Amino acid sequence: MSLDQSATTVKALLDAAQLKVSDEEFLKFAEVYPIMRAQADALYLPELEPESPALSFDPTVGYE
Amino acid sequence: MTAPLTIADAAKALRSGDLTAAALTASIFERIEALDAKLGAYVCTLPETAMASAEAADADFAKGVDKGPLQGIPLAVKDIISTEDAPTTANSRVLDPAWGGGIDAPVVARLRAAGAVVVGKATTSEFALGAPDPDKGFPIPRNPWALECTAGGSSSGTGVAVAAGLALGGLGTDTGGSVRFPAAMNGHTGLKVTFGRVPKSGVVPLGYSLDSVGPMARSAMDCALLLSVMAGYDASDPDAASAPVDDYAAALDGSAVGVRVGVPMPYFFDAPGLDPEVRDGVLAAVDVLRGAGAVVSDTEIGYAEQAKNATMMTLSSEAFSYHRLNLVDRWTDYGKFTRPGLARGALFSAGDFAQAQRFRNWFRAEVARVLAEFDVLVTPTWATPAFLLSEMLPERMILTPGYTPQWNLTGLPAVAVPCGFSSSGLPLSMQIIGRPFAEATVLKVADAYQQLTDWHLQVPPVAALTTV
Repeated sequence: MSLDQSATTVKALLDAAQLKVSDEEFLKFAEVYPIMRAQADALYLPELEPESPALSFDPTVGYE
Repeated sequence: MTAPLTIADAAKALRSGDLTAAALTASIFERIEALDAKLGAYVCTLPETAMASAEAADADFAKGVDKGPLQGIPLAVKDIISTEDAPTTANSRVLDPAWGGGIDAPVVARLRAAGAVVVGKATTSEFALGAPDPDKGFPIPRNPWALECTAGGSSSGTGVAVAAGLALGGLGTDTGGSVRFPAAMNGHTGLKVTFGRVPKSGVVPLGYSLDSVGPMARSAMDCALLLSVMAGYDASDPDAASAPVDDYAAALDGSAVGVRVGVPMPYFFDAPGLDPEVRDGVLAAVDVLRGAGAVVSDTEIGYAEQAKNATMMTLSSEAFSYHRLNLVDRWTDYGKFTRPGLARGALFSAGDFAQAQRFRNWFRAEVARVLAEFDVLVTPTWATPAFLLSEMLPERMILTPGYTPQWNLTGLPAVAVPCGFSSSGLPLSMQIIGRPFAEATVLKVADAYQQLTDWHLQVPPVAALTTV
């Protein structure tokens, strides 16, 4: 991912979250984002196919 | 007498009549007065309430009332944990200081009920994330072994206080390593507990599914004494576990004979960025355990680096959900090293978060498979000794190897134990990891090591001990 591509994506994501960062901060995000994206992508492993996410929700809470 | 270094020694002196809680607490405040301007361990100190607690402890001793080994012991409480006698700031201009409602968090209430003396609120990285920002007006915690270096984070103040003798122990919190990192940097012992072992209600959240409250002190024994009081179910924390609380101190028999120690070599001992002095120091510590009768074998844990990244992704996402409204409205009120870390959560998708939680289940099973063969695992705690404060940047955890986050992802207990010094005189630390709720085992192994070494008892020259 080029810095330009990263900057475009980061701008869209920060805008969507309504975060107003400085130019210097934006550049840092754009530099680091490809690494973060690669780290996230590396979790999409074939061996995880049978796994459910480690989330839980108890519908009975609040009824006691 | 010389000021006691450990809770265990102080508890003995308080019972033998060699020391009073009031004298011990007064000596701690004298040390704070002399040292804290340069060390930055405390956001606020509480001399009036602390001295009242100490005098109450002495009165109880005089009446023959003994509430256990924490009675009259001066402790520091990280400033993201609510207390009745001081505001909770999270070292942030964003948090309402009335947060927590002026009520002791359950873990603090337990310590007070056991007779402990709360000396003050210890500095923390803002909201338990990031690095100190000199522009925000909070003290900058400094490493007592080298003032230009980081004291670690986020439970920096408690770590500095323990290392410099400004408290005999205290509370930290650990979401990705925040008890163990300062313990490693400052050269003392720090335990990240099993998720749910200690109630975390009354603690400002960072990563809901990762947060834990842990003891920080010089020795494994002291951590055991603290944990025996801190641990146990509390209905106010939906994640609190009802698993029985062990007598942790009683489990420390000083022996490592027959303990099966796994040493996961790939990544934990060969990742680029691991300082050779750390690696050699930890392997030398493993040799000490072997010499003490432990059965040591190399092993392997798959996808350890991905587990670190999944932890940080989970932490960022959960922290972002808590902070987003304030990030939108009050971006510059957050410290310059905090806000990027919190905002990172906006850069992951909901699918990424769910996938990280799928990975989490898978990795938990992978580690359980390895721990079926071992009682504990040993790794470095941190990849380097303390580094310059100016190098404590938000992206550091993304770009460098990390050995603490995996155990938050899996919820396992892990203790940081001093194991030497670098050639530049900075502490080195090994990490001992165990099965869920096996705090007694990890502390037993740490204690066995500390019976044979005295790294945990070293005092930084800047904080040379005084008399009480």
